[in-house]
Amino acid sequence: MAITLKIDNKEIKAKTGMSVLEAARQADIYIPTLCHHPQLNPSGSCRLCIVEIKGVRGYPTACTIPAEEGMVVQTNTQRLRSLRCQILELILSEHPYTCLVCDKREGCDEWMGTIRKVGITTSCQTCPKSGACELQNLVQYLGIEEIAFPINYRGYPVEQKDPFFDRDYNLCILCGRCVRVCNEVRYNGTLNFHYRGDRTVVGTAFGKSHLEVGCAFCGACVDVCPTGALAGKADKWEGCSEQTQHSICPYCAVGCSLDYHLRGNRIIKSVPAQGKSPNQGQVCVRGRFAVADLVNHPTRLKKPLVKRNKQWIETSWEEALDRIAEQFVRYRGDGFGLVVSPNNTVEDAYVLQKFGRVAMQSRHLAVSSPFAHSRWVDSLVEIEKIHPPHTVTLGDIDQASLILVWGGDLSVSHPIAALRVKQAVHRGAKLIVIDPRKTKLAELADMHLQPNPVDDSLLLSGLMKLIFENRSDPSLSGPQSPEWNDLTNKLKKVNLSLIEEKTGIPRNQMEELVDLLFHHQRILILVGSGLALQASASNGLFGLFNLSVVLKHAKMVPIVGESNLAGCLEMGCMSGLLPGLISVNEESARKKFEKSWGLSIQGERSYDFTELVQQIEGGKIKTLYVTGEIPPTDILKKCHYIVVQSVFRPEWADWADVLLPAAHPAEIDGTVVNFEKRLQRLRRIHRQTGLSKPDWWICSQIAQKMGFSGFSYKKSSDILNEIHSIVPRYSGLIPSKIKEKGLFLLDFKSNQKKKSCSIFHFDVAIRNHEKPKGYPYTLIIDVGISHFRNASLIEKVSGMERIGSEGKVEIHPKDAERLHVSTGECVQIKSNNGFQFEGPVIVTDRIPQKSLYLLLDKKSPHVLECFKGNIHFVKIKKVADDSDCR
Amino acid sequence: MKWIRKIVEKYGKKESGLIPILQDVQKIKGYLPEEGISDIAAELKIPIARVYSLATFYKAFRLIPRGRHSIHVCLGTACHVRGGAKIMDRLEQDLGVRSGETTQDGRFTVESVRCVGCCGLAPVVVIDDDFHGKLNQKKVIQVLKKYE
Ligand code: SF4
Ligand code: SF4
Ligand code: SF4
Ligand code: FES
Ligand code: FES
Repeated sequence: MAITLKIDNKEIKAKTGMSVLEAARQADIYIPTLCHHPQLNPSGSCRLCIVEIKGVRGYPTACTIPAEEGMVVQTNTQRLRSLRCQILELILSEHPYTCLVCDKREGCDEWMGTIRKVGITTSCQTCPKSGACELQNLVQYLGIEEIAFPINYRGYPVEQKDPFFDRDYNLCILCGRCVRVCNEVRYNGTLNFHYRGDRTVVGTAFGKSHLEVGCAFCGACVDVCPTGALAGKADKWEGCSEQTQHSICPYCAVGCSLDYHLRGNRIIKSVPAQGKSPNQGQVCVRGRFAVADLVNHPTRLKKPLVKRNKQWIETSWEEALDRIAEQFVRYRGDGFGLVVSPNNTVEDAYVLQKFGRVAMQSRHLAVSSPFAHSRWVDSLVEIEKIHPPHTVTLGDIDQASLILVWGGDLSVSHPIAALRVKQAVHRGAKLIVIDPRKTKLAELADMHLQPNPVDDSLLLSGLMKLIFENRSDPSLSGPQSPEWNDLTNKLKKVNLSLIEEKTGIPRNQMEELVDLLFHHQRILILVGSGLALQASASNGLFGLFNLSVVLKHAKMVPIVGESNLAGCLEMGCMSGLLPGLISVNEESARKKFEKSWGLSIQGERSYDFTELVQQIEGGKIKTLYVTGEIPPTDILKKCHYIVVQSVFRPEWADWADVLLPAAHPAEIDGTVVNFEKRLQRLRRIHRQTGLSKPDWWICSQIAQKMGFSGFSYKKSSDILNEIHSIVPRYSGLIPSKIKEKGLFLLDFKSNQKKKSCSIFHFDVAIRNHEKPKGYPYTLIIDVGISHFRNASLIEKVSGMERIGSEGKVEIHPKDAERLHVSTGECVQIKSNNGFQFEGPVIVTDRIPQKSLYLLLDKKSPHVLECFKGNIHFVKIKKVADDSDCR
Repeated sequence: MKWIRKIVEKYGKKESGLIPILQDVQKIKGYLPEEGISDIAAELKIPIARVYSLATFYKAFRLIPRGRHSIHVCLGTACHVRGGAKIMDRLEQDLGVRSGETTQDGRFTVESVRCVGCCGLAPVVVIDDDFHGKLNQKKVIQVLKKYE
C-alpha cells in the first residue's frame, strides 16, 4: 500500500513495510548509517541514523522505525548533527582514527598506492580499507576534525593464520554486520559477539581459527564490513578499486553474477554483484577468492609454444597455427579426437564441434567433465525432449515446501544452490537428504536417509512401490502409456524386504518419506553428483523423473557440473549429438546442418570422454585437440600429436606437441548456460594476458589455415548469430536480448511443444552388488572444487589446499581404529577392477562404517578411471612409510 | 553425550531454554566444558558460536573450571578505605584476569567479597581458608607464592 509522509519538509511516497530510512533513501535523502546494510535485517545498534519524528519522543533510529502515513520526519537538524558527532566520536574512540582526522590526510593519499605489508593497523598507512572506508566517509560528512576521547587501542592480535582473509579486530566497531550476514544470510553461524560491555568482541567460538570451526570462506563478512577489520589476503594491498565490471563466475553450474573490481588494468578482486540473478548478492569461496588470483597468475601461458627436439620454443601465432594446420590435415578422419572443456563458452563449443565434425571429419568429440558420460547425458537429453527445456530455477527452491536433495554434497559442489536450500529451510520448508554421507545439508534435514552406496535405483524402486501400492489415489493413475503399465507391473514384483536388506533402509523410514511426499504440494527434487556419478545414473535419473511426474506437483532438476557443461552439451560437443541436442541419426536435421556447414557430418555415437582417452591406448585415436586439460594419465604418451589450448601448462605437457595460450573467461566475450538453462553473458573486462586468445578464435584460425571457409568469425557475437540462424532450438534467441539477467532457454523456445507428460522406462531389477571377497569397503567417489578447465587450482590459488578434503580419503572412526590410522596418515586403496589410490585419510563420522569417501583432486593419477563410475569395492591398508603422502 | 541430551530435552529442545540448560550443565560440571557447549549446540541445531556468545555474556557462567585456589579480596568498607581496590587491581594485573575469572593455568580464581568480619586487619585477602591481613600491593604477591 502506498503511504505519504514528510521528510525534511518534502512530501514523499513510500510503501507500507518500508523503514523511514528506506523511504528517505528512495527519495534521495541521505541519512548517515553504519550498522545498516541493504542485505541485512536492521539492528539499530550504531544509532547514527537517528531522526526526529513529530509526536515521537526521543530520537528513534530511522533504520528500524517503520514509515507511517502522515509522519513528519526531520533528518538533519542541528541537534541531530551534534548528537551524531558525539556518537561517531564514541565509536571512534575504540578505533585507531589517525587516518580519519589527520590534517595531512590529503597530501598523504598520494602515497597510498605503495605496498604496505605491515601486519598491524595503527594508522592510515596500514589500513587496507583506506579510501573505501565508511568511517572515513562519515567523518567527512559530519565534519569531525578532532576527537574528544583518547584512543583505546584494544591490542588484539591480528588473525592471519586462516586462508583467504585476515582479521584485525582492533579496527572493529562492533556494527555486527558480519555477524548478521554469517548468521542470517549465510546460515553458517561462524561468527558472533562474545563477552560484554567494553570487552565485547566479534569472533568464533572459543576464539578458534575459522578453519577449525568450519567457516565456508564465502567472504560475505568481509564484503559487508564497513572498516578494515576484515580484509581479503590477496586484495588488501591492491589499493582502491577504480571501476567495477559485471560478468559471470567461471566455475560451477550455478553461474553466479560477479562484479570484478579493477585498478588500472588489473583485476583486484571479484565480489558478488548486488541484486542480480541468479545468486542475489552471494557467492562462494571460489567466486570470491579464486578468480583474481588465477587471472593474474604469473605462470599463465602467455605465448604459443611448439616443441622442437624435445624443447619448448616460444613462437608466433602465425607459425604455431601453420604448423598445426599442416599436421591436422594429415590426421583428418577417425583418428582425430576433440576434447572440449566444460568451462568453454557456448561460442567456443560451437566452433570446436563444427571444426571436429566438418574440418576434421571426425565423430570423436567429448566434453572433459566427469558428468559428460553417455549414460547421464543421454537420459538428460531424453528428458529434455519431453520437458523442453528444464523449467526449474533457483527461484523454485524459494517456493518449494519440500526439498528432496538426492545424492551429493551441494554445499561443496554448488554452494549457492545449497545456500538457497538452507534459506528455504529456515523459512520453514522441509528438507529430505538422501546420501550415504552426513553432508552439511543433512545436518539441517528433517529426514536423512543413508542408503548403502553404489546403486540408488534400489531405494527408488522401493519408494515407487510404496507410492504405487499403498496409495490408491486416483490422481495417481497417471498417463496411460505402455511405460506406465510396464512400470506398475514391474513394481508389483519388487520385493520390499530385499530392498530393505540391500539399501539398509528400513521400510518404516521409506514409508515416512513417502508420507512426506504425499503431504506436500510444492516438491522440488535436486539431483546431485552422488547419483550422477553412479554406474546406474541413467536409471536413477529416469526413476527420479518418474517420481516427479507421479507426484504431480513435483519438479526435478540435476545440479551437477561446471560453468558451461550444459552449454557445451547444448552445442553438441558429444559424439552423436548435434547442436540443439539433436541426434545425428535424425536424418533431416543432420542434412540441414550439412547444408549450412557445406560438408558431410560423420555420424553415430562413438565414445564419451573417458572412452575416447582410452581409445588412444588401442591406437584408434592418434591426434588429440584439447581445450583446457585432461587429468594426467600415461595413456596420452601414446598419442602421435597433441595440441593443447590452455590457461596453464599442463603437468603432462611433455607429451604434447603444441601449447597455445587460451584466454581466461574474464578476458573474453561469450555466453554460458547454467544448470537452470539460463544463458548468460561473459564479458571481456581484462586485457588478454600475453598473447592469449579465446578458444573459438584459435580454432577458427586453424580451420582457415587448413583451407576451410565458414570459420571467418570476427567476434564472438558472429558465432551466436550463426547459432541463432541454424540451430532450430535457438531460432527464437535474439542475441541482443541477453541482458545482465540472462535469458532462459525456455523463454525463446521456438517450435518446441510440450508433449504430454510421459514416464520413462525404469529398471527395477536388483543387480548384484555383493562385495567381492577380500574387498570389504565400498568407495564413494565425488568431484572436488579445486579445478578450472581440469587444471588444479591447488598451487595457483593460495588457500585452496587448506579448505576441502580433495585427494583425501574419509574413513569412519571405527574402521580407522581397526586399521590403526589417524587423520593425516597415508593409506592405499585397491579396487577389485585395478584401480589404485594412495593418500592421507580423514577420520570422520560423516561417512558410515565400511564405506570410504574420496573427493577427487584433478591432479591425482587415476582420476580418469574414477570418471567411469564402476569402482565400488576396495580394500584399504595403511602405508607404513608416508613419505609419499601429500 | 547422553546427559546433555537429557538436559536439553528437559527444556523443550528450544533455543529459548539455552540459559537454564547452561545453568544445569554448569551445576553438574562446575563450569561449561567445550564439548558440553558444542553438544548443546548440536542438540539444538544452532551454531556453537551462538551458545558460546551467551556463555561469555553472563558472568555467572565460567568456561574454565574453578582454580585450585580461590582468592577472595575484601572490598568491604574498612578494606576499601585501606586500599582493597588497589590490591584487587594488582592481582588482576599480575594474574591477567578480572574479578570472577580463573587464571589460564587453573591456579587461582579471583573474586571480591564484602567484609569478612575482621576489619581490624584491613585490607584483607582470603586465600582458600587462610586469612591474610594488613596487606599491600607488594605483600599480596608474596603471599601468592605459597599456593601452587
Ligand atoms: S566467510 Fe562466510 S562463513 Fe566464514 S565467517 Fe565470513 S560469512 Fe561466515
Ligand atoms: S568486523 Fe567489521 S562488520 Fe564485523 S562487527 Fe566489526 S566492524 Fe562490523
Ligand atoms: S556457486 Fe558456483 S558460480 Fe557461484 S560463486 Fe561459487 S563456483 Fe561460482
Ligand atoms: S544504521 Fe540505524 S542504528 Fe545503525
Ligand atoms: S571490610 Fe574487609 S574485613 Fe571487613
